Amino acid sequence: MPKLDKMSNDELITISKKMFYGGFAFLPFLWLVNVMYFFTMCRKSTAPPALRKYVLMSLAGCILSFIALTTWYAVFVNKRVQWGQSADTITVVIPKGV
Amino acid sequence: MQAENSDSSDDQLPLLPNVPELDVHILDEPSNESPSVLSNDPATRLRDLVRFYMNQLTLLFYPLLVTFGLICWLETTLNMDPLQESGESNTDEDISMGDIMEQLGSSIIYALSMVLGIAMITMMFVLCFKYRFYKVMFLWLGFSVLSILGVTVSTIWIELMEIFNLPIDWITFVACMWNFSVVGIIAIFWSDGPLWLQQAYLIFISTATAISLLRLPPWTVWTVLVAIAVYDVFAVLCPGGPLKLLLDIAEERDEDVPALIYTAGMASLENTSETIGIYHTEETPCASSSKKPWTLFNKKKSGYERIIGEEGDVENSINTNSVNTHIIHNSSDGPFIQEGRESESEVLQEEDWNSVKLGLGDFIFYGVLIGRAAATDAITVCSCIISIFTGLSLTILILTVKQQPLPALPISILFGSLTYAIGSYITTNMVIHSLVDGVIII
Repeated sequence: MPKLDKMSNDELITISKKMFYGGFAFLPFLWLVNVMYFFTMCRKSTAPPALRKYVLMSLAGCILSFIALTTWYAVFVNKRVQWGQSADTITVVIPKGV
Repeated sequence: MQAENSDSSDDQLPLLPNVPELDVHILDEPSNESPSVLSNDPATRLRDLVRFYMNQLTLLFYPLLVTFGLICWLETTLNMDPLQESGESNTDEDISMGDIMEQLGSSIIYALSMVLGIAMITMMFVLCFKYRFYKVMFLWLGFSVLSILGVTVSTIWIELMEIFNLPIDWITFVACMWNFSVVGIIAIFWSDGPLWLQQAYLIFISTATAISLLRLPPWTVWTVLVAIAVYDVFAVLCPGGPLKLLLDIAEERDEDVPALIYTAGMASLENTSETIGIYHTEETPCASSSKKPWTLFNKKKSGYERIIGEEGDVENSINTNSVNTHIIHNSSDGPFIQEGRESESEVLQEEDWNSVKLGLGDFIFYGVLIGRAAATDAITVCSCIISIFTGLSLTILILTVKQQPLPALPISILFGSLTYAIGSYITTNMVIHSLVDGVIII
């Protein structure tokens, strides 16, 4: 693993770009990793704007996906009993004593 | 091995850091310690080297502790189901001799078959390496990592959800598992990714594999542990052992052996990505400190990473592989760069040989021992952890002195098993009765 500060700006942008585009394959976690990895780099004033752009977009994508997933899960948990049989077909773990 | 290499030639980038057999790359010691680096007194150098690597040893303790903690928590949580038949139920006194012999017999058969399976897979690995079927190794490793991250972790997660009585639907489940596995593959096999992510995933892989190994009946687990420890000694030290063969081939070709190795530290890779060609992370089956990852259940933790750089495979493979332990403060930035090494790979190498690495197989089998101890009480677990660390320190000390690949498993497993036996049967009772009967007053 290269040390972040030893890599040139171009390398950093390449890595960030790869992680950003990779995250479009339903991988918001990769976006989160992108943000966490380059966060300190972005805070510095020497950071290239392209890097900041990718990190910011990754952050936005990650937050949106997280909100979407959490909303769906909350809806599912609360309405599961109500939906009855259709909910059972998409459930992996059915808690005992519903 | 690495020691000799590094000392002799600088242009020869030793696979040292990456060489699995040597989890500690002591060779470059002089550059690590600035003050006595140039000391020609072998005694002083040795002493400094030992001190240096002992400092690095603590870097290995943190991931081991995290792994142990995870395994203990998972073991105790996953076995909480009262409907489950506990495997420990037959440790009562009224077990007939026939039962014990039967258990022992079946466990020995299990252990032998596991060791045979592991040996076969390692031999296959050696053959692939020898005839340069790198793609096969790469795919094999990737597949095994994917299956561990996908299947085993899914199973553990579902069991956890069942115990906590939480519902999970397919959509959330698939989304989370897809994310987890794919990012795991990326983290382990992509050298440009973050180090801490790779370390975390290596810890997850070790935990998952250890948990799945702990599903065997109790006696079998112990027999398997002992058998694998004995096998490790033969595989690494005997001339015909597969690990030794792997190391020899790697050494004569000056390449890096594929292996999944945990490096605890910051790797400072000076190389730019242009010089890094194809790399695979590999889990070293060999390596003195690493244990073979192949299990009978076909879970492979190894990945082979070989970097084909312009100067050759050397350094890159080391760096990209797992995590290279890097002693940040002791980075060889100082002496070697000043000596005017142009090639980045060499610089990399310098920095690399300071790192201490531990093979993933060691993580797994240490974890299995601790998981077994977790089924009893906390006193046994703590003493087993201490004994494993003692064994590891001793192994690295001997490694530092002998400078030759050594198996990391036997000493620790020996200490650990003895401590478990003594702890669970004697120490626990002693401490509890001392407290209850008022001998020790808290």
